[in-house]
Amino acid sequence: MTLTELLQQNFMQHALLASLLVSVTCGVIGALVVVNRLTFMAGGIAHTAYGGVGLAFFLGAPVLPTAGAFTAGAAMLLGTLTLKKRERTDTLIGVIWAAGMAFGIIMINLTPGYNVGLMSYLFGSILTVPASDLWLMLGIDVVIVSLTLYFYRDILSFSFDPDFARSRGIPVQWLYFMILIMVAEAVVMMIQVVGLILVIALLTLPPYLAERHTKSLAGLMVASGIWSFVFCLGGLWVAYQFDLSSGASIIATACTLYLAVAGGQKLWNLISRQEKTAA
Amino acid sequence: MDSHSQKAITPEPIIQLRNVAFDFENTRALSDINIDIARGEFIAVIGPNGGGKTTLMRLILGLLTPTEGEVRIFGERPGANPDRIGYVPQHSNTSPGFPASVEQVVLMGLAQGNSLLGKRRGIRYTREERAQAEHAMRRAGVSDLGKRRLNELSGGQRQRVLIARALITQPELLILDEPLSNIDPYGRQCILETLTGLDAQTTVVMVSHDLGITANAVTGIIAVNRYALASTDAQLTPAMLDLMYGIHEAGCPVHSLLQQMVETMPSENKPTDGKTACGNSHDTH
Repeated sequence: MTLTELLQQNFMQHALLASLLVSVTCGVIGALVVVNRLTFMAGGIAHTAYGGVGLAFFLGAPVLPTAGAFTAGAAMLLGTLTLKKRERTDTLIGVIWAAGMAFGIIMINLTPGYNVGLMSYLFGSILTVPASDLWLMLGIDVVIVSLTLYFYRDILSFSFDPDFARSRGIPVQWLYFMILIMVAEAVVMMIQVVGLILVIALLTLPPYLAERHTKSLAGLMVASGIWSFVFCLGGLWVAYQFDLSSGASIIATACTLYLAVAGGQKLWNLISRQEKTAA
Repeated sequence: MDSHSQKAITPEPIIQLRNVAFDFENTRALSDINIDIARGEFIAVIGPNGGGKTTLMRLILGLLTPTEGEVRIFGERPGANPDRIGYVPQHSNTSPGFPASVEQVVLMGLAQGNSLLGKRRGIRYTREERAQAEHAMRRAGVSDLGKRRLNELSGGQRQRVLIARALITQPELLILDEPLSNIDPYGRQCILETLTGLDAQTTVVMVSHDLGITANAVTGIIAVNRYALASTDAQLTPAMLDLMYGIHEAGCPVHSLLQQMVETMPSENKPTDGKTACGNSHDTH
């Protein structure tokens, strides 16, 4: 099949559109996760989403909306617990992480029949995204981008220095919960693309790469989104060329590019330093 | 009033703490605090680690609520006038790798929101806001660093950027939490130049471990170690040393150290001569 023929296929058009929609959220939320040091928290929320997937299977309900509501609830619970016991944040995240996964597995055990599609939620299945999920993704994109734009100055101040933000009268607890719920919805959206186990890589690798050449939070969000889209396209190409799993291919592409760019930068710095010493 | 507390009689107090106590996880961290601070004062808050200095600052800022007693700032509850108060935390509390230029950090001082659904300003800063930032950066002596990122600056420069962020709203009260910690002597001098060069009507309350370097600048001292003792003449008293470090007999190494602290205090406060080796722009008094 030629590239033109491939691009005319409905599943590939859906996959490309899903990549674009996910990259928008990924850029915004990934940047927020990295600058607020919420990577472990996002990991906990992502794995808790499995509980929502299990619940959807058990109830026979649509997976994305059910998982979205369940994960938002788990994020609120995590936020409440970690606000009260800051020194126990890691432990609490670990507990909720495991509890969510266990709940999901039990729900699936209790669901009659064998659920073939379950693996796609663990490792992603961007090639089977239905049109209805694309509309849902677009809705999540619009909400996340709108909230971020509206509260941008508050989010910026809160992310840099929460104590100072509070001293300016910014409602930092509300912002914290809002960011956690946005992370929850982003994670559920990304499950379609890379699966909940690999979500963290797609949230964190783009900002790590982008922060080298950005001087503002908004710039970091845009650059992360672009990197994310590059990873998705690259991963789709790799998956198609070598007949591999799309989710794992996207993450493998992201990791390879990250190592190449970070390694290249280190090498460049080393050469520049040696040239300066020689001069 | 408890024997450990002393109320400073000052005209027009803008900070008033009455019988304030604060419990942290069922342990009394501050007890029976009675303090008045007048407009234009430069107060150093000193005391041992864990003595409650930062807790006291957070009570004044409204970041903590007292377990007992009352805190009034400008005659109102703390937090009621965010634009009139500038807060400068330790620079080590912020991430130097944050994706923001110095100018953007200073502009963060304009962020405000009294409720979640209150009106917000747009993502872009206006020309007036940028002019405010420029003015604040000039006052803090960092106007030439506007385009740089924090991780390209020294600790002293980063601290002055945070001072500029606090100054952008031209506050009447500036609260600084250990701004001289982990700063080299030149950086400390620059920060002190910035603070002593502020408008005479600006009240400064600064937590400091190093009273020696601040002695010439301050007009009063508050010693804190669960209780608080205030002096309006910037002199360490034996009672303050007792409160902070306990009583030590002659010959004990701690006693010698405390004696040295008292002896090295200057007999009178000397105003700075207005030289600005750090590039600060002093306010006109």
